[in-house]
Amino acid sequence: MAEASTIYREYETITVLKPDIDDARIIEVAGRLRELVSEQGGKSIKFSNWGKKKLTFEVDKIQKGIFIHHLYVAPPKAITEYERSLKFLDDALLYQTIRLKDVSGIDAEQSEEDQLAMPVRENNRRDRDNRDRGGHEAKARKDEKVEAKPEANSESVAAAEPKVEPEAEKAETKATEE
Amino acid sequence: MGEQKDFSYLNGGGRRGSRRKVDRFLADKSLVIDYKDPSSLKHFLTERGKIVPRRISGLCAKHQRKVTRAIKRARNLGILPYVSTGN
Repeated sequence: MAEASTIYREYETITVLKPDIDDARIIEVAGRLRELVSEQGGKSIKFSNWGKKKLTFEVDKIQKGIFIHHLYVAPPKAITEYERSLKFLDDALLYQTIRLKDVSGIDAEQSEEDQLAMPVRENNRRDRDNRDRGGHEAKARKDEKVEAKPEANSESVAAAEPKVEPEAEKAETKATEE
Repeated sequence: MGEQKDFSYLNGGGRRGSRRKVDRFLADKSLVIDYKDPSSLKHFLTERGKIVPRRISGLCAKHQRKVTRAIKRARNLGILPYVSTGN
């Protein structure tokens, strides 16, 4: 009786996590999902963190989410268990698994380095959610400048005063000498 | 007798203007339809977030199906909107 050969396919799962979780929790979730894939006879290729993004619709009254992308090779039966675990994960808001291609074996693709660190946004102009609405920050900066000016004036007055005292001291010393 | 009748009104209303658009994915083979890239798929959505029909987008049937599938996947993940207000 011939053994049935296991079919392996390459899948990618994108999971949207709650925006308030920290990096340690993301690494924990990634580790758990990686373990799950290997338990089911698969192999993780790459985990990447796309960072916090705004959702086009709110989920549980949450407007943003952390997107993580998992690329892996696994038999088809692993997907049921994978999605089941995501369903019970409290931090997961949305998830979707896409089948990419059939592969010959579990070692068809080489593992790549994970990128779980939160990406840094270079262009701050795109960070619209943290923009100063109503100009409060600009006004606060302006107030600081206005307060700093009188202090500068008082410093100049204070700097002028010591000049007077040495002269007075000199007059006193002359008087005593005489 | 001998008058020639004008049958131009039978030409489909005299459609003028837009010539046949080129399928951009056939013109440039390096372009990839990916549901993870909303910036490339936004061109195929109207202001209200609806998928542009093939007669407007100019895509061939195969690419229109791929684009539609990619848009629906992106919508599921909250990357593209189902309905937008058209701002």
